[in-house]
Amino acid sequence: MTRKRTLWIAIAAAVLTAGFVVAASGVSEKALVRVDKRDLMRLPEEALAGLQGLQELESSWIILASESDLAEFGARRIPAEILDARPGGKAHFLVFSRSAEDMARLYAHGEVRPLEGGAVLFWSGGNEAREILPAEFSLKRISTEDRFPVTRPGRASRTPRPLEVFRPGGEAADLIPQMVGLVSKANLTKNIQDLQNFQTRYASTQACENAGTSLYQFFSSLSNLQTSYVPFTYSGNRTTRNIVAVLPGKSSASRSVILCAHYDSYSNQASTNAPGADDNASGTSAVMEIARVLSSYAFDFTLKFICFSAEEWGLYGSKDYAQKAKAAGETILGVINMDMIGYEDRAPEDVDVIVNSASEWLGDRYISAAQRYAPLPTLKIINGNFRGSDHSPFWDQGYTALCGIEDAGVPNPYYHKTTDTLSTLNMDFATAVAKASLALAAELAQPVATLPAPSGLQARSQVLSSLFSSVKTVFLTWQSTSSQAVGYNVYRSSNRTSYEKANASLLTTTAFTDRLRPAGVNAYYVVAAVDAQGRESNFSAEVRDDGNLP
Amino acid sequence: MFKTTAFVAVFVLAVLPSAAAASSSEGPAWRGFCVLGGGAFYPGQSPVRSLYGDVSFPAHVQLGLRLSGPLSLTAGYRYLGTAGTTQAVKPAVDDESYDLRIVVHSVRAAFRLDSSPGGSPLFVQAGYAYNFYRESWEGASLDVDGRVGGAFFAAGAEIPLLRPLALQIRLEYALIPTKEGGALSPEVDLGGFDAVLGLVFRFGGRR
Repeated sequence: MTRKRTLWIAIAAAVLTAGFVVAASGVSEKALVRVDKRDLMRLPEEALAGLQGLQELESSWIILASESDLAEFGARRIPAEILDARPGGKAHFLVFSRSAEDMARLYAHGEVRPLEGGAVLFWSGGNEAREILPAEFSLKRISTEDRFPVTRPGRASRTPRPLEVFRPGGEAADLIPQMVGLVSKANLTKNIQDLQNFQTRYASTQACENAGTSLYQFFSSLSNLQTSYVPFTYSGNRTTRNIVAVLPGKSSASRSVILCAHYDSYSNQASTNAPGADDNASGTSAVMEIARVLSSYAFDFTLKFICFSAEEWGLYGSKDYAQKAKAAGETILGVINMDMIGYEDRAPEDVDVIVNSASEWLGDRYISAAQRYAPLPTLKIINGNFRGSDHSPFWDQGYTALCGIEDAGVPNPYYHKTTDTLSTLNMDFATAVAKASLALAAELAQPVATLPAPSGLQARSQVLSSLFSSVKTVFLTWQSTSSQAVGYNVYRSSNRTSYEKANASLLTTTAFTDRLRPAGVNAYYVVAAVDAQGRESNFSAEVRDDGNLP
Repeated sequence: MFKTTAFVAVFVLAVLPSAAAASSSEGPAWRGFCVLGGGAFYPGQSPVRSLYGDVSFPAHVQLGLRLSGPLSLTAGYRYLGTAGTTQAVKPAVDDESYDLRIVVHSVRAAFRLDSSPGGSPLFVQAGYAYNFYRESWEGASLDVDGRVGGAFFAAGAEIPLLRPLALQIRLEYALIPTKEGGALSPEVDLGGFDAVLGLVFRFGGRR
């Protein structure tokens, strides 16, 4: 009898609580609510699986909750903070405030709901936050179209740690110091200067698109990389492009390691003047330089070098990429995102390695690589609330990702200002971060111990003519990069996509003459070294038959 | 080609002593004639000269039929076969080259006008030729062949030798516009100047 009465009381209480929650919020359809993760653990598995997670934070979830979800919370006495009872037609953003003053300024521009760890939910109708908020705020768009699975801590559908497939040590690992040694501070500096020269790279400007085109051309000039534009739409009908360069893996191409940075920039005069040298030409430059070095080597797993756009608008580029990767079932072993790696506010500067709890192992590996190869002081920060850069959409999709940044607290006084220029950067520090990132990427992708590709490929050509026919003779020379090379193969392409071997038998010298080629058609050449076991290196840098770079 | 030229030269030397006497007398009116000769050909277009040399030696055969008075109709054949080497178009990197060969067969028809009805030392000729040409590369499958028509013009003189023979010297200019070309010239003309020395055999003359 007592048990029956207790049961009735419980049911009545649940109904009342649910009714209170719904009535108090005025919810008619779905609402944005924030729920503590520990409380969510009290839900049964099927109820948890039915929730529509929009954003995971360190200790809570932002959920798009239906009336029945809210009733369930009420029945189980799970506190659910209503953030926006009527989110339809609005554009919500995670905004990261660093002080009470920041917070006060936010209130002047729209609706503000403090969350945790400096993260704030902000909206102002359907407006883009980038267009109404002051420059110093970093943003992440939260979409009610998203549906991330709300999982119990420790039982998330995370990508497994790739330790079981990693082969540390051995001949291949010896290649990594060699690769690190090829990182050029001069190249890193030049890349930043080149990007800064666009005046602005603010997404929505033509200059930003021009910068994307130059990045595409840069990656396309590197042999072995498959480069593409990946366009996407953001903020209604605006479009821009991510630049994706892929070095296919030799033995397990379906698994990939991503090195990424955003190339767009922002300032308080963003349309005309946003040099963005630290934020984030520095990270983009590192991706470019690492791609230059690693494209000459072979790896078991695929390496992807990605330059994202529209990060400053709310991580649109990385969100688009991560969503599509998840939908395609891509296996990403780890994402190394570099965002602001050139400013040193104190010496020696350390790089903050920011991870969520599921990505902690990746942060540990970064720190190990930084100590071993850079060397570079590091600080690991486990903070699931650090959502203001391109690693975040990968976290959302359950991928392992880290963000390498000079200071998580952004003490760079030139941040999002027109004074964020190359002259304010410490390129020794940026070079060390690039080296550490390269080393980690190479470790994860696992170098294959083949010969390094020959270097210094040069071409000269002449046209021989009779009265009615002309042919081209192409004279190729190159340098060997390994004493273990027993020969070379030269490959020719007319479309830079598919190559055919030009030599009939293995070449034993570092020169080759390709005769009787059509005079009116340009051909492109690469050369590969072959070792005693017949294993072929990656292709060398590509050269056009007239000696010019493609 | 050399044999043809040598034969013509020997023959000319053998009959030349009687030529002067014969040329002074009034000759008979011949019904027709046949000319066998060899020439020295100077190509009109500089790319042809740069590849195949300034002078080459074609062979000529011509058959003529007197129509009326000083006018004759002629049919002929010209053969030119010569060798050369490819030329490097800028930039020249290496001194490599390929051996070339070009052959031109010309089938000709023309009218000839002599300076007098009875046959005289001077004549002019104008006609049309149909030319077959082929250029080939040694060691490469880059043969190009074609056919093209073109006019030709000639002027010459004949010196009577022992009857019914005469020595003919004529200068020709032929057009062989192929309408195709390569890096050296977009439109190659295989024609040019031909200095021909020939032996004339006259037949069907009245005594």
